[in-house]
Amino acid sequence: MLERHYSEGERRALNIVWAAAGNYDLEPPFLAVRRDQADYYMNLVIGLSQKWLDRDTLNGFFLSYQGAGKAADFDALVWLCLENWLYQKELPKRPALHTLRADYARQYLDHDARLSRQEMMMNDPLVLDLQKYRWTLVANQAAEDSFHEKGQTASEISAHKNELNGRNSPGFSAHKNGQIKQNLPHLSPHEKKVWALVDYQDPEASTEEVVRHLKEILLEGFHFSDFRMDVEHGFQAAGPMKELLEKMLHRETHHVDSLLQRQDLSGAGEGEGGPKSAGGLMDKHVSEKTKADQDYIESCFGPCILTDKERKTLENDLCKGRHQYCSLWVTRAEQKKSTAMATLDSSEDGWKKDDERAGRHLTESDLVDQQTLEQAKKNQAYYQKNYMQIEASVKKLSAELETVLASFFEPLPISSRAGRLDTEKTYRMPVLRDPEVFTRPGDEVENSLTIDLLLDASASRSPYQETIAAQAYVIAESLNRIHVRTRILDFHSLRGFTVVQILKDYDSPDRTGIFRYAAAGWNRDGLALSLTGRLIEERIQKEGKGQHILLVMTDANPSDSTQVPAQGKDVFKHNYGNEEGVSDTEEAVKKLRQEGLTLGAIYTGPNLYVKNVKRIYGSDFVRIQKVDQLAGGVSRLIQELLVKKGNQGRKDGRFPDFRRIAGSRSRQRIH
Amino acid sequence: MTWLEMAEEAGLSDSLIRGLKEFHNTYDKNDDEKLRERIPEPVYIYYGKEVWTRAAAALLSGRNLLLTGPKATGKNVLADCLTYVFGRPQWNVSFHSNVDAAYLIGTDTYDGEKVVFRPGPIYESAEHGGFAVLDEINMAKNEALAVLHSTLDFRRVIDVPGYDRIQVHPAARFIGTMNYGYAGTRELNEALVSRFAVLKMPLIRPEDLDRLILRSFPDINPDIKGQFMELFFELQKKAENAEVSERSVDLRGLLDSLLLVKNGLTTGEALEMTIVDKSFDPFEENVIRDLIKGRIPGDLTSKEVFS
Repeated sequence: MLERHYSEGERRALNIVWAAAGNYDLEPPFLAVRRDQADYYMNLVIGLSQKWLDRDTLNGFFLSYQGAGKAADFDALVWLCLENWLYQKELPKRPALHTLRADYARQYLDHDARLSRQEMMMNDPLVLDLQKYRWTLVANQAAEDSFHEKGQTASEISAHKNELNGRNSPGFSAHKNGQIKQNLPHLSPHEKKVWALVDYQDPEASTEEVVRHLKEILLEGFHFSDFRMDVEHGFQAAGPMKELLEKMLHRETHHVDSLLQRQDLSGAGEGEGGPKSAGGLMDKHVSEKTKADQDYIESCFGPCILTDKERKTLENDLCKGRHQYCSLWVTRAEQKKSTAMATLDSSEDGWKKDDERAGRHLTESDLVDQQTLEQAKKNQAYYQKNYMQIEASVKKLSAELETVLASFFEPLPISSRAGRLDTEKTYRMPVLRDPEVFTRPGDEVENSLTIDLLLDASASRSPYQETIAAQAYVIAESLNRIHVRTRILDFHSLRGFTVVQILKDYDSPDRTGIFRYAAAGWNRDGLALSLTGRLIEERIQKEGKGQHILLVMTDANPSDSTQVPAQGKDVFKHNYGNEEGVSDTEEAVKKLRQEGLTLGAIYTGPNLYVKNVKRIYGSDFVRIQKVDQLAGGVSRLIQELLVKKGNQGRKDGRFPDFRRIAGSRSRQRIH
Repeated sequence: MTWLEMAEEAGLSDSLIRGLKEFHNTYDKNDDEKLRERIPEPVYIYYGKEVWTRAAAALLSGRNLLLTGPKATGKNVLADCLTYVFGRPQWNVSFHSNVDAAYLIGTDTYDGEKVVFRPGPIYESAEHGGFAVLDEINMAKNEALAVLHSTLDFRRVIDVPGYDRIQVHPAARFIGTMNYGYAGTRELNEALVSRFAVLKMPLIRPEDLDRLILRSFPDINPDIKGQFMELFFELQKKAENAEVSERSVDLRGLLDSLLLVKNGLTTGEALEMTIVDKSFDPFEENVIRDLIKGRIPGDLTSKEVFS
């Protein structure tokens, strides 16, 4: 599963927690973030709780009352107690804590003074009173310490007094020695009892003792004792049940042969049998490719960039055997964009309202367009939100790729006063007294590498669309910065058509096309790979020499609604999925490699399909679970692919040239 | 501090110190003044008895050394200290992706009359018995480094096509440094690695960091020193977990900050200049600031930091 993504404020809070806990693997049960601003002191306290107390026991305790109606108030009281305990425990090791706590107390009182009556009523009075009591005590103590340590001048006292007045403070008193102290709030007898418990100061207590004490506080404060031990320890599943659950939890979300994703289909109802469109479960596309299907594909993806003749030739060549019932479609994302984006952009309400106003009935393709554009906006928003992390990844990946490529491509020579003698210029030495007759390696590298990145855009990728688009952008932008020509494609399969869509072409400077990535439909990996191989082959034919790499970003779980026809003695058709899909993709990859194409996978799927990716791509894959891993992973993969290609060249006595091997066949079939 | 004092401070055993004296007796007398100027005088001393012992033993046995380890483990400090203790002139070669054989051994150049050979740092140190520090050796391409094979192994020769074949001076040693996994680095090939004794540099131990700080600032307040040390190790942990870049794990920066405080800045101002501002990512800057805030109040002055 991909890592949860945090906002900038959350990430900063996490860093404070991790540093305080001294552990960067933990997922803390709480984070103190308000309006995406991390609260320094409270996150430090959260981190310290994970440092000083047994994590499982403490987190189990938090879970044990999370279902209670006043859980938020319980949390506040529990943390009020824990803060004090952790402060005593950590202070000897971290003297700065004293100042930080005093700062927090002042901030709290400042904030508290500005709370409206409504805001105050939203909090439990017990919690509010005790919090105020604690922080007033701390602030007063800090003021006293400061007074004794540094001494205060009369003007400072006056300034402090004015400041407190200005805040509409509940009240302060001036001591005989000139110190300013805020009045402590009055506590009721019940509050005093709870306060005695909250002011817990036994630094030697074990986690169990601390938790027991916290339970006493909740009992005394809220008469709460219903700590659910079953919840506390979680539901433990083992054996076949565990496997079943894992399968269910990781279950793929395949869709009907419709690009339209409905909110109500995104949950547990989805799955292998989940499609609910036109004909529901029985609507599996079995054989005949109708004109309606083609119209649907065209309306959703735009026109095919191949001529009818080219498309038929490709279909004759690739759509046979397992893919007998399939058709092909190659399109460019921007062809759909021009009109659709214009319409969406023209109105804040978007396409739908425009059309409704015009009284036109919205077709499914209109809704698909709308959905695609909305997704594009989400992808863009995700990029904007995580701009810094994405930029950092781009910088890292481009630096690493530059190094990798520098090992494989020779730097271009430049004139120099020392180095290798350039014989053509030697006459200049005696004749012109020109010392620049040598060459040395320059900074520029002759780069003949071209990379195609193929993204799996099936519905199973829906939960990760923004992440995938961002990752693809990182790869494309990094390659662009080091002048590697890159094309980004995605593929879907639906209604019998395997559609390869060009999101960014080699020479297009516009990398925002990648954000038009939207996941829907199925994924017939074997056919999509073969089709992409042909597109690359065609490009190499047109443009001549160079090294070519195809990277596939996949979850290695091929699956399509269009069935595999009965073959050999078998009289039954099969679904394209599981073993059938994996073995077909494995064969396609093997065939492309035999033809000389260098190919590797970037695996972003769950643990469940790791065996599939190994089987299909052998060792030429890298698993990416976090965006941070992208730079290291992709550069390593490209390096390994280049090394492999180089070794193969030496072994065969020639450098494999995809153009040469594929060229002859291509001429026969495409032209 | 003389080389002998440094060797003793480093905790080298008597037998190693005897070996070093012998080394000096054998080679010092042949060096001219110009070469002596190339002997570095280290600003910092490397602390870590075990590493010192291994490194000195390897060099005394005629081995070349490859120091590997992350940033702020003192690779270059150790290389300088070793050169100083052995009393040899130093040639420092910074490696990058375009380093080639000509850059290392030497190139052709025109002296106004004819094409002549201009020796490179490896050639020079081999000829004069120097210590060549091959800094960030894994930034170079393996093909470029192949030229070093015959220099580094038992043959100890450099054969320059069209010029001389020279025998490497018996006092010459090669000390490579590398940070494995750094952006822009690559795997060294086995052939090259096998020609070095590899020393994995450990992260500085708390007691060694303590000595290092005390040596530069003997009057530092012990509590503040403890917090500076904690800050350094926390930064290191953050970098290990890729939450901040290694740029911020800067031991020199930390020591510099104390110097700045001594000269009148507050801790906040000094740490901002020497640690925080070395990062150019605003988010990373904030994360580092948070880390500092948890350890060292920003308003401490020389009066509080030093007694």
